[in-house]
Amino acid sequence: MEVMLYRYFDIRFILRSLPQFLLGLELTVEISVVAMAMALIWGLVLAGPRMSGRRWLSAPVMTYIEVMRNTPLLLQIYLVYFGLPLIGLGLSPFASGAVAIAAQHGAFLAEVYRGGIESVSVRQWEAARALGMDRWRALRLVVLPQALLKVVPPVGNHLVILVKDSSLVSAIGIMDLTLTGKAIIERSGASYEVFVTIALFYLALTSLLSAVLRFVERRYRGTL
Amino acid sequence: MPTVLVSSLPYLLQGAVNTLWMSAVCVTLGTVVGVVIGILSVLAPAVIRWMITAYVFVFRGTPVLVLMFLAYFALPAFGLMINVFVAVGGALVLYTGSFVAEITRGAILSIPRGQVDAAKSLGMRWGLILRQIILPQALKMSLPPLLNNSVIMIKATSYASIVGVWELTYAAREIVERSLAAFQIFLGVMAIYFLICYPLSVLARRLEKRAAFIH
Amino acid sequence: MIEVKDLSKRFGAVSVLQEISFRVDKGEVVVIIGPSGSGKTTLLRCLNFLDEYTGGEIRIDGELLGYRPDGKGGRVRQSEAEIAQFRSQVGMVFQSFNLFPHRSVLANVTMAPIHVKGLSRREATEIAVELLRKVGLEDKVNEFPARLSGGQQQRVAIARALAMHPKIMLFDEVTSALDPELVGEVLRVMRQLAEEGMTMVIVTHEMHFARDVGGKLIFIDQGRIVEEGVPREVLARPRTDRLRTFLRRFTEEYFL
Repeated sequence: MEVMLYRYFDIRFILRSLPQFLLGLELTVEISVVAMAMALIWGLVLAGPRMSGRRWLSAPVMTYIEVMRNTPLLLQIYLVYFGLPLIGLGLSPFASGAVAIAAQHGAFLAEVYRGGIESVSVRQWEAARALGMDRWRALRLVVLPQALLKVVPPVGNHLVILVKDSSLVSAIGIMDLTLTGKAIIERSGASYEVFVTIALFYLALTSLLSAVLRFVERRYRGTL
Repeated sequence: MPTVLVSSLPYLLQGAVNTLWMSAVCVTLGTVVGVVIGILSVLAPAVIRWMITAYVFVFRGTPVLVLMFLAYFALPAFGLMINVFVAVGGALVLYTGSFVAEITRGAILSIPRGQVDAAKSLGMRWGLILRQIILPQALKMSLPPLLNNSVIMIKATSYASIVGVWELTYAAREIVERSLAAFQIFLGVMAIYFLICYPLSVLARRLEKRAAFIH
Repeated sequence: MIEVKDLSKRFGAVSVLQEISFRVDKGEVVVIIGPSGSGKTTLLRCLNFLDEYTGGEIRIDGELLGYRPDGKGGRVRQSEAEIAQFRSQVGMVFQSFNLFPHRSVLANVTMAPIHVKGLSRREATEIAVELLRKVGLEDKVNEFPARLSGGQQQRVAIARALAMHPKIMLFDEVTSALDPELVGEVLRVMRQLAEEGMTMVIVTHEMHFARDVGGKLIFIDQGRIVEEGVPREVLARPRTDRLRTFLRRFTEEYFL
């Protein structure tokens, strides 16, 4: 029985390659975290003009968001990696990958932020103003806390998607989990065990992230 | 000015045909598979429902690129010599299926149970109830999310290029590596994807708005 | 026509109905009243096996409902087909109407006759139009439920149940969700049905309706029958404190 399992799934090989897997994991986590941080901020930057009443501000942002929504992330990664050096802005593969991911996910997050703020009823605004608060105070003390609560679940979902999208940077040579897997297979002729392991690593990552997010959601819900 | 783009257009359009072909097949199959699984996730006995939960968990928690690699390497290992296109396409179908299953499941569960009670008390059996009451409403409700999902899947076909499938993105990278006209080509190809996906996104939004109006 | 003997029902560990026994004769109108949580809706739903009773018997025209003797002294659940077949002879109207929102009024009424009984579209439509005329809604035939008032929707629901020519009609608080001014039109239809001799089991809070139309009144509390009898008498002279307390909630004008 043991021998059969060994033949179908070379566990010892996996265990021997563990250090490489862990290095790949490290890179995946690194690039995800960097891209996440940039995307969260970029989304905030975009959200303001997006919700502005002035067409000349909101229209370009809306176009940008639509383009990000309807074109593959891979192309954007290629564009940044192959294109920027042509105009003198040579970014490392890591930076290219992170910037491209942030550019796309920032667009999605801007829409999420917008949804959160718009879903806080107009009456909350009116109530705050009636209490004598100016626009800034009303935003900070009444609307934003409620918007934040509404926004945590969808932002969390996008972060999980971001971690999965990070696998695309393997296309420009970054030794993340995915490329590590490919490299090991090409070098050693091992077979699908490698990618099953890679899949398990990603599953562990996304499950962990989801669990943490659910925990945060639950706790935050209490405080409001 | 975009001379490289213009001269490469025939080549790129061939790639686009592949992309469209792959998208159409995988999205259609994936949607059908997903709807069936979605229905089963509500009605089937506990064992099957548990298996479906596991399937959805695995396919939604793993990057689609990894699933494609897995299919590419795994199938030959089990003795199935199929070409890349089919292996990767299969992964995409199952990936699509997991999302569609969740969408379908949500739609079915949102139908008030009272309607099922009324149908049962009129003497209708489950097959009839599904066909006449549940599915018409659930599928109509699912249309916007399904359309949005197809956009996601069309974009996912570009990832197949990393595994070695020849389609639009693969063709684009080939040309750029030869000619270094990165901006022209990649922006041009982005425009092609945009032309394919944008109408679907707009349609989804319009349907959503109409549904909200009715309610 | 309906014989309930020692009926009991549990949801998990919670016993919702116990030792329920009563009869409904052909053409009789039985009204069930009781506080919320008393189990009256569950009892009604057991009568067409929408909720599966766990102990005791329900017999309709002598036949055991929902179960078949298994030849070993016990009983086994009937198949879905048998239960559905039986349900097509018992009509039910619900508190929340439960019309099918994606189909027209006419389609709502003809759906079961066509697909369950196998009638042709023309036959089913004839029956449907006639019933809709009877409930006063022949001009709404092609409307969709969302555009009707609550009272109109409920009348469509009654027509839909009647289209299957059931032997028995069950009504589960069918006016409780209606605005007061719409209640009358529904009660009128129910009264007419009773006068035509339909066997009916009605769960309701409309005490004057119970008094005027009901042939037998059953008061249920905490899963058991507490009082039973002719509506006029039971309502005017409650014998138990529980019924007295319950009735006190209703204004004087509901009493004789």
